[in-house]
Amino acid sequence: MSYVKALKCRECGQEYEKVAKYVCEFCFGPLEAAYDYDKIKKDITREKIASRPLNIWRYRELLPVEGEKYNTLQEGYTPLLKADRLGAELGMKNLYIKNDCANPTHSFKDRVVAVASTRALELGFDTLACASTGNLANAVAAYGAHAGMKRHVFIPSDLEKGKIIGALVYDPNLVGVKGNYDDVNRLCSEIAGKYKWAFVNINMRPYYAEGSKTLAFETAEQLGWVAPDQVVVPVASGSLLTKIWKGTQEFIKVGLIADKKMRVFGAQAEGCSPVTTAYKAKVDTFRPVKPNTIAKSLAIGNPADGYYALKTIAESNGGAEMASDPEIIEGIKLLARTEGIFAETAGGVTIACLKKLVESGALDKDAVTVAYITGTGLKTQEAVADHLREVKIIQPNLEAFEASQLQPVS
Amino acid sequence: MANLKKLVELDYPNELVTEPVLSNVIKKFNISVNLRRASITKGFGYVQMQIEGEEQEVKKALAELTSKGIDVNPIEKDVLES
Repeated sequence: MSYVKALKCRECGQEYEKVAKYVCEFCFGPLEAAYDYDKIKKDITREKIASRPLNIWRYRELLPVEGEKYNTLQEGYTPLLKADRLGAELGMKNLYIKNDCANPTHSFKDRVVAVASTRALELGFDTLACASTGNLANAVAAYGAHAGMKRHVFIPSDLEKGKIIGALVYDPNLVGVKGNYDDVNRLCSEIAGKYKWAFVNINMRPYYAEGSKTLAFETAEQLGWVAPDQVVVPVASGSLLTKIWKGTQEFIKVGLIADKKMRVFGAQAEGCSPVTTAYKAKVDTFRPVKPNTIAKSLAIGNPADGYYALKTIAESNGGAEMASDPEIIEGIKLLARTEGIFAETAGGVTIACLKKLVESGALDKDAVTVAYITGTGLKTQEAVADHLREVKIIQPNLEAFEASQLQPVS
Repeated sequence: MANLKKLVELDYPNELVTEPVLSNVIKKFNISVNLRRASITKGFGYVQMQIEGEEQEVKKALAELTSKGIDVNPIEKDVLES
């Protein structure tokens, strides 16, 4: 049974059938799943949720699918760690890390693809597709394989080998597109328009994006059914940030948690910061940019939900920050050194921005703060490879070992 | 040739906001446009519209807009995600 009433335009409110459609025919605004919250409020309880398996489907009433047949690899319910050592370095008392490296393909994309692929199967699609540079490609290839769907994954042809293998192992039709970033974008938009495939982040976007809300649901449940005071979220398309806000508001609306003024902060890389730049310039429309940063997973120069991310930041009285490439690398190393979590470059952006937001006084040092780490560093090892200590190579005897330990640590 | 209908966003640089670039392109090529949304803020403007016409004419019109310095993007915005 579904609690989704329709797809609704976020701009003009026009409603549509729950099909694979993502843009309003009237105003070109984005479509979003609209729920029957009164009904959900009657049916959902903390106890009911707590009795279910530890994956995203424990919040099924607030996800945009019809039945109870899920395409799942047990994504979600990832660790929420109290980060006391990192907190101490930053002067924060109540810092938590939501570690989404712990998902089946090691990024938060498993949440969104689980939802998009489940809905795609319900709508009768037999083909799953995406345009991606890494995490999403892995998730689509894996979830498509798990569901026995045909899978087409489009990547820029010059993508690093490690990322290609991470998708190729699931045996999708992997297409490397020769051209720059914009060429790949345009081609994939055209392909999505022509072929009747479930393109997770294009025509399935209204369903896909809803999967991100589960990060907010889990955070609240893991904190003991309370929302954090402030969150720091990496911003690429801007969808994650808006959905963490939406998820929290929904939990309040259906009575699972008490009302709270949660503040939302966006984190971007300096080399691709359309949202942060607009926030700092105090304008409500961002200007598309050409990305140039090591944080490739955040390198979306013309983000689909950038405008809504800006609106959410303003509505929540939050903020936005940006980090340079050296700061991103330091962020990755700081998190690994203090908390034992190896994050990808997006995580480095989050930690670097967290640090800057604390230093500037934008974040309250005493408040309950959650920083979202959305993917594992094992996928972007090249970003830090040249910035780590060297291995000490020694002869196999005690003397050599002890001599090596006298050398200064680089 | 086939008829082509496309949804596009035009992102204007500051200096072009005051020029009738779109109007000139409509006169020059055999196309029709249907504007749906537009905005101008500090130093930046955008127009979202549907453009329709014979395929080559639409392509030429969009190429002309690009050559004038307007960034022409599909309405989906960037679809290449990590």
